[in-house]
Amino acid sequence: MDDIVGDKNAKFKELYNQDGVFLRQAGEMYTPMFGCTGSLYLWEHISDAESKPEVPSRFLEWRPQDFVELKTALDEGSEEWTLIESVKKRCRTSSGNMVKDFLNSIGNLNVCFSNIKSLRCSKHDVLTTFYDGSCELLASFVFPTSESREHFLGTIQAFVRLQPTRRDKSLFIVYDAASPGFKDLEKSFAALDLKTDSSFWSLLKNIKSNPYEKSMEAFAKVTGYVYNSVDDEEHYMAQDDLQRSISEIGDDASAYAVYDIPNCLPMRVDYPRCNPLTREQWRAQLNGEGQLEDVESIKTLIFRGGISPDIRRVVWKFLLGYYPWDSTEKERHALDISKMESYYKIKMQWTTFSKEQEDNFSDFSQRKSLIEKDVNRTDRVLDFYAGENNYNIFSLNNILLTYLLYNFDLGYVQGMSYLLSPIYMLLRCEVEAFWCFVGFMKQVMSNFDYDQNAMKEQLKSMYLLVNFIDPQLSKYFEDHECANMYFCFRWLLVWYKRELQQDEVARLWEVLWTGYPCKNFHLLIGVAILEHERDALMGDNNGFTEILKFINELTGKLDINLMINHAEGIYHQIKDADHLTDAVRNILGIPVAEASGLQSKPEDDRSPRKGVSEPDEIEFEKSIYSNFLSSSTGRLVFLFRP
Amino acid sequence: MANRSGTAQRPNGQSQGKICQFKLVLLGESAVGKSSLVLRFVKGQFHEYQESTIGAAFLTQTICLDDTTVKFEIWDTAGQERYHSLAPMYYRGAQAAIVVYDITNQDTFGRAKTWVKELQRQASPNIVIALAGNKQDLANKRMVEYEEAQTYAEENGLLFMETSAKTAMNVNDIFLAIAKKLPKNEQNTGQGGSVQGRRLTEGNTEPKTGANCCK
Ligand SMILES: Nc1nc2c(ncn2[C@@H]2O[C@H](COP(=O)(O)OP(=O)(O)OP(=O)(O)O)[C@@H](O)[C@H]2O)c(=O)[nH]1
Ligand SMILES: [Mg+2]
Repeated sequence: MDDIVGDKNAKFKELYNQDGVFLRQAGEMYTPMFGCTGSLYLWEHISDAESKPEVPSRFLEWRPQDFVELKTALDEGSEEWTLIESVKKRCRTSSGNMVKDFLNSIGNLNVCFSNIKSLRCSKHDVLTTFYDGSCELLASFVFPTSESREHFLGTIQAFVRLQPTRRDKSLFIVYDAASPGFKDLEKSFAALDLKTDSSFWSLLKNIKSNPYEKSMEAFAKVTGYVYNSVDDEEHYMAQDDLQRSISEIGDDASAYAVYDIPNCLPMRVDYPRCNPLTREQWRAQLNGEGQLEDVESIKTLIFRGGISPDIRRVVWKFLLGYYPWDSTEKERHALDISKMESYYKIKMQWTTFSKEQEDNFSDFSQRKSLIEKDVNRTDRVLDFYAGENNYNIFSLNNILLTYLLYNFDLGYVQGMSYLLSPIYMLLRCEVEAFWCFVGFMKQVMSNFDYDQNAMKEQLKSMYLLVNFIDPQLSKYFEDHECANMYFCFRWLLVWYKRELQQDEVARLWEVLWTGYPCKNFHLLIGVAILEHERDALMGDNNGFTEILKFINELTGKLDINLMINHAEGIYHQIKDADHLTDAVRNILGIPVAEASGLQSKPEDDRSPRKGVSEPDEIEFEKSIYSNFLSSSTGRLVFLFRP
Repeated sequence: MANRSGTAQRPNGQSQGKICQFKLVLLGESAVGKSSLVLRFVKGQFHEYQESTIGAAFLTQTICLDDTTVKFEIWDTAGQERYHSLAPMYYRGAQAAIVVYDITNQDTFGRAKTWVKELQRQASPNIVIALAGNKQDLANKRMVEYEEAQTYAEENGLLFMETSAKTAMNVNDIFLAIAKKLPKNEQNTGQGGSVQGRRLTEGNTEPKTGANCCK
């Protein structure tokens, strides 16, 4: 408090006080306190005749709880670690004195309220982030409850106005309602007859390439007006006025700065994994007919924890479409018989080929030899498939040959044997494994297409997802010629089969087969792995070769339950993100959010946007909140998206 | 991760011994033994049930040749026809290729010829190509005659050896022969162009392209 106040005699009134506020992020010097809880205060300076002008009128202060205790303990002369149990782990590495020094040197976290130019608080969580005029993060807090945050927002609205930005409802521009200049600005803007047309956008381009630095300060004052007026369609800026303003700026115009409001993701929420679906839970869902009562809840259980091995055999047959979810015991019995008959019918087709016939059918015999080569080196390290003349290898061969005739257009493609192996190993029955394999192939068939387009598409999607979650990492890939993401090829082709142990594969696949929580969840598993390994990937200036090698060598080192857990967290972050793009939405099949008035106006209502190409818009989105000009004549112009 | 290239490099002026780094790609029909040859060359091992390659694998191995250290950056690709469309990504910028066939399988020899043609047409113009007739230990089941392959290799200017990843026969030799044939002086720089995925912005000591040999 001393630093910011600079005057020991200044008097302050407490406007707000809340315990249990978690510090998520702030300036770098506060790093050791990230993740600590503490008390958040809002102080107001009581001005009197003696007070110095540099004393800020209001500021936020956050005092770490743990550190308060620690400091007291240290001040009392005790340097014993037993006394400072409550200190977070990361502080323990330093000696008692160092901790003390640290505390004395940085003190509490203070933020001058007038520096806060925007804040982000999403409906979905209690995370609240404050930014300064250059959109640098000042501090990010997690309030203990939404009530406490509401109370905070209520308190500050006594002296500032919070204006939600048009495109991003969780980002608020903070402006000082009492500012004397505010009224004047309002007036000067009212004088502009704002219209828009496509030249507005070319104009905007100019501004983006020549952003003016100092404009941020005044910006917050202007935005209030502009954002108030945007709802009035008549109020769009006329390009003439803009052009005039820009020309007035003259030479100084080269100094524009475009500020990026960081696209904040909602905080990652942990969705703990649960216990696998048990036999009891499964049986409890079967009615008298042997029909499942509540399929969705079963699928949810499977998604949350997988299936316990003793009932996997049964449940996989549902997951892979061998039995319909709503089938009765009786129907399933009939299916067993019909499926067996049809399997052997197909199988008979190739078992009855004569040598001569086969020789004259090279499309078949070539694929047959490919299957033979592959089954001979599929999972041979597992006891189940080990050794010469292993019967199980013989069965894999039979199933794949039968599948070859079942779907001759697709044929046999390398990788398929890895998709079959875990299924056969569990079911241990040619007929069942065949039909379950058919079910699985229906989901992933396009991976094996000649043109490989489906694979390319997935790799591209993977890139987009990484880009959304961790732009720094995607940028790294981009800069190191890895943006094609080919190092993930094996992951996606055989659903991580080659990276995992047999029981891990079973767990991952059954989770993925539920189709929860979204489309293409298997891509998010990959995103989770990449994110988990991001430091190793980006360290050492690795290029494509090093990354490919590193990824290939992850085999056997992945904690798949953790990755599923992370992937689910990532899914929710994406889904709840305020800046969710259609591209990402489509990949994961996330429906467009429920219409909320203004935000979801049909495109046609925004005629000025027509003819604006996508990249322009994306670029623009980033700077929408903060592009504006400040001329030397004191005239302010704010650019906004109509 | 991969060994940092050029780390053993001596400062300019100390001219005894140079380090050359080459990108080498293995091509050939599925199951002819590409991965097995690499595994034998790099780790001295052989796996009876070597798993099929999905996508690609990358390994490095360094050999000494007189006063030169040759570092191979080896790309091992998946052999099946279906994944053919990915291959150019891997052979682009390669200075050397080993095209492998299985001497017990005539079809794989035919496929090897197709690969050779494709490389001659589309890879770097000065690429050194070696033809490897693998599984020589199974000579009793031979379907491709040594002479037939040798004639073909001569006609096309290829290095040729019959190899066995299983017994290690000719495995080091074929890599060595390639190393010998590769240009190891500065006049040949730039022939491979910018090598895909190579780090080009390392220290000052980093050779600018994989094709270069540095003193
Ligand atoms: N007898 C014998 N078997 C070999 C030899 N080289 C490889 N094999 C076996 O041939 C099979 C295929 O070898 P891989 O090295 O996986 O073949 P690949 O060319 O890499 O195949 P893809 O990755 O599918 O393109 C394996 O079972 C190997 O053990 C050899 O020199 N002699
Ligand atoms: Mg291989």
